[in-house]
Amino acid sequence: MTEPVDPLDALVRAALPPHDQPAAQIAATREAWRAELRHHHRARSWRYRLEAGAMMTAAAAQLVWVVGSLFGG
Amino acid sequence: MTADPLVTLAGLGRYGAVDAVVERELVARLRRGDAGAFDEIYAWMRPRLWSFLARMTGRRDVADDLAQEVWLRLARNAHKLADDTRLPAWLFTVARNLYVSQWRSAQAARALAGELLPPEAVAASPFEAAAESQTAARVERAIAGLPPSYREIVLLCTVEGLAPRDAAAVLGLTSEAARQRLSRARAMIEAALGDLARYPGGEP
Repeated sequence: MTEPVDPLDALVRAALPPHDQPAAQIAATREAWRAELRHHHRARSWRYRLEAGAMMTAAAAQLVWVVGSLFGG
Repeated sequence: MTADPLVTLAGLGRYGAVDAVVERELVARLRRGDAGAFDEIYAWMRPRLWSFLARMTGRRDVADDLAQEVWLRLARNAHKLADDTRLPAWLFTVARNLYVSQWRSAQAARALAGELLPPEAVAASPFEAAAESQTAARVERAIAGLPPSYREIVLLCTVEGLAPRDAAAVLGLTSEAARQRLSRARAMIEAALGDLARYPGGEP
């Protein structure tokens, strides 16, 4: 059973239809969230994490080597 | 047997409630990063969210930016959605928070600029000119003339058909406070519309 609709609510609903954006804007927004989704998906993959971990380790090793060469015996 | 989400969401208007099982399935697919689920919710909720933002901000360009940010946030946070997330309420909450931030920034900029800026335009709806009838234009104007806190509850409950409980959650209010605010907003609209509200079909 549907609830009775208040006449004022019915008037407001009928007078205020949903509007939509221009097609180009819809497509641009879709492309933006798809890119975000792809990026997010990649960032959460184990391969990406392993690669990021390997790069961080390599950077840390280089830093240690530089500091060692400057101040080491 | 569960309903096919595509079939259930197709043609769903503003006031149709999505079956709870279908909504849970959609949430589960969003959590897995299923691009098809994003397409479905984008097609279903895009006009509703954008219309809400355009009527709150009064500007199409600002609504475009805020709407884009809502969808980016969904893409970023979908994996964190709870199983029982009510998707329209979640999306409207993000949209409303973004609107509030934008409004505060605009207020701060106006305060800093002082009298350099021209006075703010009288409330106008971005859709008033496109209204198909005098009645629609008058209603658009009446809604645009409401203070933001009253406009948002009318747009969520009356226009978008959110349950008062969901609207209260979006606005961070108790159900009772939301009901009272909606009642006051209705009285303001009635006063703004005059005879039109009393005799929607024309004077007796």
